[in-house]
Amino acid sequence: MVDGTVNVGDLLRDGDPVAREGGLSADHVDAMRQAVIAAALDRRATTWWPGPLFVAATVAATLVAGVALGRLLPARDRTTSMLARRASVGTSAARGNVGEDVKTQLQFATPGGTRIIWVFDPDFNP
Amino acid sequence: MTLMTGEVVVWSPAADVRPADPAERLAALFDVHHRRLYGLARRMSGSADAARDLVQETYLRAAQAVASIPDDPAREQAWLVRVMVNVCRDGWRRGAVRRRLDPVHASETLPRAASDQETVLVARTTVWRALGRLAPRRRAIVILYELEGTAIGDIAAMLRVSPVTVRWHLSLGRRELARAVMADG
Repeated sequence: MVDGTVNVGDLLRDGDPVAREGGLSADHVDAMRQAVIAAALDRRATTWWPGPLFVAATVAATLVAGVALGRLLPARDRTTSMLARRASVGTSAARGNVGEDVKTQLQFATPGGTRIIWVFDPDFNP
Repeated sequence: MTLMTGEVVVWSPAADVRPADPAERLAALFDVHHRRLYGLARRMSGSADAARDLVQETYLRAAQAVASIPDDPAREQAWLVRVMVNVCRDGWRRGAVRRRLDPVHASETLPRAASDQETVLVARTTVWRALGRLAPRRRAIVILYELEGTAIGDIAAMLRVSPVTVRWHLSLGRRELARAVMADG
């Protein structure tokens, strides 16, 4: 402080703890270095296993089981189960014999009891 | 006549290969930057213990984000300094609550000095104590400029703020420190 003015920089430099104490001791440097590397190794160990690999294995096993099950089921069963899923709406299809005048129709029965019959026109050409 | 023969030797420095292993990378970062970081940490903290904790916490945070640390040595140092300032800010926010609850400690002043020598000593202690009360970013800017001689532009790049912001923090920081010294002297 000179004549009421303060040179903050000088005061800071005069009381600088780094200049007074010096840097880290070798022991502290070693201890800190080991702690930091241990943290990095620990993090690597926890991120590698089991999280991502376990999730990937579970997803793969589920996919394989799903595909295998799908192939084992007969096609008709699959159609039936699909149709049964439509909320209590019955469907049926009737076809004539091959070589005859083929008429295809689709019948619905609504929950209210209304019966709807769609007859498909084989000559229809939009 | 002497005929000198020789061969052209092309020397090029070894490619700057960064270790791919995170632990090796972190070890390399520690070896290169720990002195500089400790110096800054010691000036930012009130004790050597606190400074060591600060450096260690900085590297532990680096361990969590090794992949995001830039490869260039200057940029990796700036990255570490930014992390350190952020660690300080976290501690500062926690300390702000304690300071509000403990007004006696916050308004602590040094005893009046008798001689000129004591006045200088008190002023020196006061300015460092006042420095410790500055917000971490402002404190870091004052330290980097006043004690480490870092240019304004470099500080701005390091802390990712504009040079105007650095000057503003520097000006307010100096004013706060001078006011603390004047009040104590």
